[in-house]
Amino acid sequence: MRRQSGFDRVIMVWVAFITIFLVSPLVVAMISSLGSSTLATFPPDDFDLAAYRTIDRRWTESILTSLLVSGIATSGGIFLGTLAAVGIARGAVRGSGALDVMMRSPVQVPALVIGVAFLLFYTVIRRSTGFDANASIFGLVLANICYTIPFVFSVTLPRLLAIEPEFEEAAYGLGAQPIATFLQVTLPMIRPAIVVGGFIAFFMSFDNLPLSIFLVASGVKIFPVELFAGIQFEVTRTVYAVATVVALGSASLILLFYRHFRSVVVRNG
Amino acid sequence: MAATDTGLDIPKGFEPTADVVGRRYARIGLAVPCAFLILVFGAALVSFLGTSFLNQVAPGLLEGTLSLDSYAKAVADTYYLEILSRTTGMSLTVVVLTLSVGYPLAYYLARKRSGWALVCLGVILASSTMSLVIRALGWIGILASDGVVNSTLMSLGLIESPFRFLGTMAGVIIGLVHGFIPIIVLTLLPILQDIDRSLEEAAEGLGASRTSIFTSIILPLSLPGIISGCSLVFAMSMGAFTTPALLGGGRSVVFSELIYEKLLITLDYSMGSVLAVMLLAIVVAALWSGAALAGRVRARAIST
Repeated sequence: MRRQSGFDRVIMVWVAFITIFLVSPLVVAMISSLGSSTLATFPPDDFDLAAYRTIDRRWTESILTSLLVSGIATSGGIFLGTLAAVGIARGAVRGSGALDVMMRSPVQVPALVIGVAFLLFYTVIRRSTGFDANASIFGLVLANICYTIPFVFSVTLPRLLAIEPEFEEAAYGLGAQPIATFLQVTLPMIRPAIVVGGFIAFFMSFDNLPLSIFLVASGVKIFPVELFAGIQFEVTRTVYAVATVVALGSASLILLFYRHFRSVVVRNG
Repeated sequence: MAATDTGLDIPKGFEPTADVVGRRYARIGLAVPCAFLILVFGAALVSFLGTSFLNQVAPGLLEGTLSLDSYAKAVADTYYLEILSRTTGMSLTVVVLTLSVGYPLAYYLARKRSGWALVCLGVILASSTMSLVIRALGWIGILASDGVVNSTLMSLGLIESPFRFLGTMAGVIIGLVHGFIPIIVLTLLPILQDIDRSLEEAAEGLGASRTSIFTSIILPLSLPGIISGCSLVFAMSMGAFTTPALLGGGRSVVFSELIYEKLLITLDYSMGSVLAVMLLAIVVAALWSGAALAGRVRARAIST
C-alpha cells in the first residue's frame, strides 16, 4: 500500500466538495418541493406533499408529449445512427472521414442554431407548399431525429471498429448471409453501445429547450418549454414538484443502466 | 491502406477478407442516413443561410432579393457587438473555471476505482443527463436573495444584505460551470486513463515530488485532452441558452438570448438569422481549431 501524500488528500477533499456542488441544485429543488405554502421557500416551513397534488393535466400532458417526441426521435436516431456507423465501419467507402464529420455535424451546431434553422426551413416550406410542419409534433420530431443521430453514431462506431474481424468472417465462412450475420453476430456485440448512445440521445432530446422552443409555435406543449415558461412566470412549489418527479424519473433510469454507462465511459483496467 | 484512404482507423482485417456482399449491404445502409441528413438537416441549414441574405420588410416578412445588408447592419451595431464580447468573456471565464474544477476530478477518477470514485462517477453521469431547466431551477433556489447561500451568509452575519447572484453574470457562470463539469470530466477521463502508471511510479521511485510528476508527466501528456475539452466547453458556453435565460434575469445578457429575441419576439428573421450565422461561425471555428491544435500537440508528443 502506498502512503497517502498531502497531494492525494487535497484531491480527495476537492472531489468531495465538487460532488456536493454537482448534486446541490437537485437536492435543493427536491427539498423545495416539500411544504404547504404555494410560493416556494427554502427550507420549507413544514413537511407537506400538497404540491404534488397540484400537478395538473397541463404538466402531465406536456411530459407525455415530450416522452413521445423524444421516443420517436430517439428510435429514428438509433436506426439511422447505427446504419451510418455500420456503413462506415464495414462499407470500406472512400471519404469515410468526410462522412464521419457529416454524421457528427448536428452536435457541432449549437442546439439554438438548429432550432433557428428548422424554424426558417419550415417557414420556407409553408410559404411554397402550404404545409406547416410546426402545426403538429412532426416538425419537432424531424429536427430531433437529426439531433439524436450523432449521439448514437459516435458511441457505436468505436465499438464496431474494436470488434475483431474473426467473428463475422467465421459467420460468412459458415455460409451466413450478410443480414443474418449482422443481426446474429454483430448486433449483439454492439448492443451495449447502441443502448448507451440511445439513452444519451433520449435525454438530450427530452431536455432540449433551445432547439424545441423555436418549433412549438402552434400550441404543441412540451415539457422543457412549459417548465421554462413556468419558472419565468412564477417559481411556485408546483414547479419544484414537477421538476422533482421528472428528475427522479431520469435518475432512476440512469441507475438502472449504470453498468452500461460505466462500461462505455470507463475502460477496463 | 484503408486508414490512409479514408482518414479513419478501420481494422485491416475487414479489407481483403470481409464478404463483398456484406460490404454492399453496409453501403446501401449508409446511403439512408446520408440522404436523410442531406435532405433534412442540409436543407434546413441552406434555408437558414439563405434567409440571412434576405432583407426584412415587415415583422416576419422578407424581401425576395439577396443582399448583405443585414450582415453590414449587424457588424456596425455596437449593441450586438457589446453583447457578443460580453458572451465571449463569460465563456472564457467558464472555460477556466470548468477546467480547474474538472481536471483534478478527472485525475482522481482515472486513478481510483474504489467506493468514493464510483459514487462520484455515478453523480457525474446522473447529473450530465439531468435536465438543464431543472438544474437552473435548483440554482434559483440556492442563489435567490432569500435562497440557501444568502440566508446562510446572513444568519452567520457575514453579509448585511443579500448578494445578488440572479440577474447577474455571477449566477450565469455558476450555472454554466456546473453544467460543463461532467462534460470536461468525461472528455479528460479516457486520456488520463491512457497515461501509463509505470511512468509515474518510475518518477516517484527516482524521488520526484508529486507536484513535479504532475507538471512534467501528467500535464503534458493530457494536453490534447485539455485543449479539446476547453474548445468544447467554450463552444457550448457560447451557444448556451437555457442557463443564461433562467439565471441571467430575463434581459438579453448573452448572444443566444439576442437571437431568441430577434426571431421569436420582434420577428426580425433576417437579423436573427445573421446573428445565428455569426454564432455558428464562432462555435465551428472554436471546435475545429481546438481539434486541429489537439491533433498537432498529440502528433508532437508521439514524435518526440
